[in-house]
Amino acid sequence: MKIALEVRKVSKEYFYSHARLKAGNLKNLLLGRYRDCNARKEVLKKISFDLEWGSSIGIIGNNGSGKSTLLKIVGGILSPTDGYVRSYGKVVTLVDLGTGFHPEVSGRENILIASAILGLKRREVENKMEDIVKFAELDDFIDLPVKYYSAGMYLRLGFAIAVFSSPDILLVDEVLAVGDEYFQQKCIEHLERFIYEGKSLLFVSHSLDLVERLADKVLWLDSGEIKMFGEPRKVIDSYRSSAHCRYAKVENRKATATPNEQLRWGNRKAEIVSIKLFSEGKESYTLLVPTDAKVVAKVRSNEKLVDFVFGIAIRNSKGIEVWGSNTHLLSFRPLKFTGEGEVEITLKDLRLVEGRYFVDFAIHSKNGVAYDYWKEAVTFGVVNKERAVGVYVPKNSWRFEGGIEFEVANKSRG
Amino acid sequence: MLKEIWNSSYLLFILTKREVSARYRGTILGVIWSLLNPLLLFFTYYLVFDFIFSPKWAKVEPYALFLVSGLFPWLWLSSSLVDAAESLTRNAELVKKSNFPISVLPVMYVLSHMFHFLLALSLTYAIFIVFSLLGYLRFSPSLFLIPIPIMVQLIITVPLAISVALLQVFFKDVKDILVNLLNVLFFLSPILYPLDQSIFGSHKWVYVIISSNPFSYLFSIYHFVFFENFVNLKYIVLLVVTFVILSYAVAFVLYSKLSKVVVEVV
Repeated sequence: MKIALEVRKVSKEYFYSHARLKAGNLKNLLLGRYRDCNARKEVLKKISFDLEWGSSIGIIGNNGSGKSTLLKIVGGILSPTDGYVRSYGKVVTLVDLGTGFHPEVSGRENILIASAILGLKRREVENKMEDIVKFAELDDFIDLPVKYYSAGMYLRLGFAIAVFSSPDILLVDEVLAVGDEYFQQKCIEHLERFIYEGKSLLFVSHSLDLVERLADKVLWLDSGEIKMFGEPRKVIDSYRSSAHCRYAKVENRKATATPNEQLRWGNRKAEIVSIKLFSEGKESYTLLVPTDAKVVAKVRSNEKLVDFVFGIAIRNSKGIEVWGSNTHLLSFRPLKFTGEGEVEITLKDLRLVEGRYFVDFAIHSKNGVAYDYWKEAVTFGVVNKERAVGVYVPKNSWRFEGGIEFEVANKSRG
Repeated sequence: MLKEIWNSSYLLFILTKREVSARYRGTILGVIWSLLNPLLLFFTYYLVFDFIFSPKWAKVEPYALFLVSGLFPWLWLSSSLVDAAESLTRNAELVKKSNFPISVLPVMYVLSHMFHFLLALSLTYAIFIVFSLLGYLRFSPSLFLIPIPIMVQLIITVPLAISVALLQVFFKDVKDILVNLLNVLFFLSPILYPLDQSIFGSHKWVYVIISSNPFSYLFSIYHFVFFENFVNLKYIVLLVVTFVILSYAVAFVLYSKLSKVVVEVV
C-alpha cells in the first residue's frame, strides 16, 4: 500500500521550564545567568513508522509517554529536535476542539475563522458552511455568539470544522472521549468512512475500546519509545496486562507493607499471615480469563480455636460484591485450629468482565466476632478478550433468524 | 516571515475583521465609537489649547488640529505595539494547538488599530475641511499625499510588532519596557510641537535628541501632509529607509531564531 505519512527517527528534547524561569527576566538575561540552566528532557526517542493510505494508527500509552508531543510533531505544530516527518497530503491536526473560537462572535463567523486557520480559502469555506452546520446540528444556534453555546455544541462545531476541512491525513488527540454517546458514535462513524474512502487517520486515545474499533495498527509509546507496534489486539492486550501488573504491584506493596488499619481489623486470636493469588501454576495478579485461579492464604492461630470461619469475597472496582462465601455458609463444621495452616480456594473457569478486583479475606467466629478481617487483601486485574459490561461473562452465543443480517465486524483482526 | 504573512492574508483579513467587530460587539453605537472617541478628543484639545492656553509655537489655527494630526498616528503606533506585545501569550491556545502562522497575530493587531486610525483620520480630514471653509486654513494639494505616511508607518510598525511579540514570549519584561519607552517617546516625538529647530531656541541639544528619534520623521511627514511646513525633507527619506531596513533586519533575526521555539514556551 502507498504511504501517506513517513515518520523517521523523530526525537524531541524539551528544554525545561526552570531554565526558562531563570532566563525569564531581563536581569538574568543581562547577567548571562540563563547559560547554566540547560535542563532538558528527551520526550521522544527515535520514533519511526509509516502510515498508509486508507488505514489508521492508534497511539496508546501512559500519561507523559510522549503521545501528544508525537502528534504535534507530525502535525507540524512542534518541530522535532532530530529526524523528520514527511506527509503526502493535507494534514489537519485536531488537538483541542474549538481552539481559537472567539466567544463574542457568532458560530458562523467562528467557522470562517477556524477554517482559515486550517488553511481553507474563502470559497471552500462558503461551500462547506451548510454541511458543517448540519453535521454539528446547530441550525438554530449558528448565528448566536459561541459564548452562549453549551460544551457539547462547542465540541460538535469544532469537530465538524475539522472533518469538513477536507484533510487527507487527520491527526486527532483524545477529543472523541468527550461529548454524548450519540455524537461520539456519529464522529466515529464519520472517521470510519473517512478511512474507508482511502484517507488516513492517526489518533491518540486512552479509550482502548475506541482504539480497537478504529485502528488498523496500534503504536504503544512508553517513555518516549515505541514499546510495541502492530496488530491492535496484540498490542492492546500487552498494554493492558502491563498496566494492570503495574497497578497490582503498587497496590500489593501498599497492602502488605503498610497494612491499612481501616481495612484490617480483628482481635487477632487468629491471623492471616499472607495471601497470594495463583493462576496457571504460578503467582499472578493479572488473570487472562477464562482461566482457573487459586487463592492461597497462610494463616496462624494464636490460641486453640474451636469456633472459626474462613471467609472470602471478591469485589470489583465499583465496590460491587461479585462473589462471597465462607466455610459456615458451605456448612463446614469447625473442629479445631491450632498453629499454622493454609487455606486454598480454587476458582474454576473464572469468567469476570475485564477490570480491577479486590479480594477480602477473613477469619472470624460463627457469630461474627472478627479474629482477623482484611479488606482488599489482594488486588488483581482481569484481562478478558470478550468485551462486555457488568461483572460476569457467561459463555454465550448469538443466533439470528429471519430478516436480520449482520456484517461480521472484524477488519482483519481475528 | 513576510511570506508567511502573505500566504495567510485571508486568515489575517478574517482575524482582523473579527478583532474589530468583537471590540464593539454588544455596544449600541458599535463602530461609531471609533469616530466618537477621536471627535471628543479633538474638541477637548480645541477647548484647552486654543482657548485656555495656546503654546508659543502654535503657528496653526486651530492648534488642536495640528495636535491630532500627529496624535492619531501615534495612538495607532503605540496601541498596536502594546497589543502586539501580548499577542502571542494571549493567544497561546491558538499557537500551541494549531498550525498557526505566528507572525499573523501581531500583524493582526497592527491592522485592527489601523482600521480605527483610518476612521479617526477621516474625521481629521472632515475637521480640516470645516476649518478651511471657515477660512482658518489653506487647502493644500499635499493633503492627497496621506497614503505615503500611512504606508511608511505600516511598513515600520509590522516588524516592530513582530519583534516585541516574539521577545515578550521569552521575557515578560518586554511589555513593561515597551509601555515606559512609549511614554517617554511620546514627548520626544514631534506630536505636541513641530520638528522645527527655531522653537527650541538656544537649547539645541534638545533638538538633537528629538531628531535622533527615528519616529520623529514619521510624524513630520504627517505634519507635512496637512500643513506643508515643519519638515526637512532632505533627511527624511534616508533616515526612514535606514530605520525600516534596521527594524526588518531585527525582526527577521528574531523570527528565524525564535519562531520555532515559541510553541514550546508560550
